[in-house]
Amino acid sequence: MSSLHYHDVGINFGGVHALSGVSFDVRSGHVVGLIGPNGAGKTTLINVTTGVVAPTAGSVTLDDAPLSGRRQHQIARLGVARTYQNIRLFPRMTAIENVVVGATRIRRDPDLGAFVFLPAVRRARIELEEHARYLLHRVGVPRDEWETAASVMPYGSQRRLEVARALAMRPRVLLLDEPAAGMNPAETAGLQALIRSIAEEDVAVMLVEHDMPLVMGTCDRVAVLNFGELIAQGTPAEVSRDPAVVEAYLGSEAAQ
Amino acid sequence: MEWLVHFYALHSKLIDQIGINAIFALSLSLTLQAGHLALANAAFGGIAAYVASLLSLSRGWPLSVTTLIGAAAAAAVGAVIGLPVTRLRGVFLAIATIGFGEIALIVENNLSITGGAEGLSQIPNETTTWKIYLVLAILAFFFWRLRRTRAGWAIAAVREDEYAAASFGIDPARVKFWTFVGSAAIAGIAGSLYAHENFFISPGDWGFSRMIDILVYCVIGGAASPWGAMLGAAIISLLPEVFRFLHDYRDIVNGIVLLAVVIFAPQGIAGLWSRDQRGRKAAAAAEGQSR
Ligand SMILES: Nc1ncnc2c1ncn2[C@@H]1O[C@H](COP(=O)(O)OP(=O)(O)OP(=O)(O)O)[C@@H](O)[C@H]1O
Ligand SMILES: [Mg+2]
Repeated sequence: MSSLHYHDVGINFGGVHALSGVSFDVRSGHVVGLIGPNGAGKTTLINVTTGVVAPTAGSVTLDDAPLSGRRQHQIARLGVARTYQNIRLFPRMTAIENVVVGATRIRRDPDLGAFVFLPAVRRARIELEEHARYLLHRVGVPRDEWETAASVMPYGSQRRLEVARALAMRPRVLLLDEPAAGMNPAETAGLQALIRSIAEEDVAVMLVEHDMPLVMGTCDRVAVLNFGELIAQGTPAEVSRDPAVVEAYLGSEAAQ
Repeated sequence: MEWLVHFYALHSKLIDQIGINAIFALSLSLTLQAGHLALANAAFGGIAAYVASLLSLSRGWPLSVTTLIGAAAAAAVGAVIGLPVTRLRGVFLAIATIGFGEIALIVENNLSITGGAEGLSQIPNETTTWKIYLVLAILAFFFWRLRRTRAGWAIAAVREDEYAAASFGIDPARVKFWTFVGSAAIAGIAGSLYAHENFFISPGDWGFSRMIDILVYCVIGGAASPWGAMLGAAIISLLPEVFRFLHDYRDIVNGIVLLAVVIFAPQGIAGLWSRDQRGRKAAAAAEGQSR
């Protein structure tokens, strides 16, 4: 059981308060939706969590371990996985290879073993690829794309591969940045089932999405950001009734 | 058999040069595999060449010992400048490492122990063809197996996308630092072998033009592939010999061949093969989609 805590998190980009005073928790086994208009600071919160940028105020902790102040790869090694809104796969690696890199954190094969043809290294490689195929199947990447370079995969498959690669690290925390972008309703329904099944494996999941039916159907709780501030949080039903939320969304739509 | 002996007698110098150039190419390919352009391999070769030559001149130590110490010295210098320099990105790293190479040349030109601009001569001629190719074979084995290690995966991931690599627990700074140090060590081996293959060395042997030669081996062969690097070294080292009959036009034809490779095979010669592979897979995937 782990849980992610945001405590009064703030970040300032040269005078722009991209986040301020953000506090909420994501507990393992739960899916927390993070919603808000464009530019509200959702991706920035994921970047703060994963050490891409350091918060200028407050702290992020995983159980009792502080995440803020650590570097990106150190946070990843603690079991914090993410997907990227602007897909960031390893372009010239195949789908399977991408997932194998995702498993870096949990690999235990002896590093010098390959030089002396240690059978354990070979076995580990076979197991890694086996697991990669299982994950690709689970997220729904078609089998005939598994050996394809990521850069030439269809957009939808690339999004799924992002999720498979993140799952490969056996994360304690999974941060999904708009995984449903570009999916049709049937695909979105499949994604909803997938996210629920991930949470059931005791992962703390944060889902950043603009697709409201998906958020409302998937999440245990929802947090709403607007101009970097948390304007509401609660169950999906509570949040969708909240006047401040309605106001933020209508306001932003009117402005567009 | 007799033909072979004759051929070797005629071309042994060229065969040795190809081997040494291939080791230089491998040294650069290590940093290229991690996706960074560091251009100090010629300088590291020079540092090791001077260290090895001086030890062999003053102490009479054998080639194996002087080469190891020379390579260790290059790696040590690589570690010292690698700490600040590998934090730089892209063209800034290239410029900083070129600058380091120029500083090394100035030092070599002005120290009395290195013989100044005259360099060192009467270096024992201990390098033999089999020793060069034994080292090359060991290094080729190392690179072949490296891809199957966790370190090899980390190197490839950093080359593809260092930010994404970091978000899976790989420390790009560490990968860049160690590939830089390893690259310096391998360049050092090549430099020591070169020194013991030629009767004398001078600062001019380790200048920018040599670095460009090494870069051309890798670009022509295929930047991120150790096999491509070795192949590129062999082809580029052979070109002047092949076109010898062209006399004064030789350099022009050399240049045309290089341009042709860069234009028609931007991934290098090794890339022709793998591009074809990935292309076929992509086509197969597209077909699968339309079904
Ligand atoms: N590294 C940065 N430097 C400066 N400003 C930044 C940086 N990262 C984000 N911002 C700014 O912070 C604000 C929040 O951006 P963010 O990408 O987090 O929004 P978002 O909620 O993810 O939006 P979207 O729904 O469009 O993805 C924006 O105004 C953005 O320009
Ligand atoms: Mg975003």
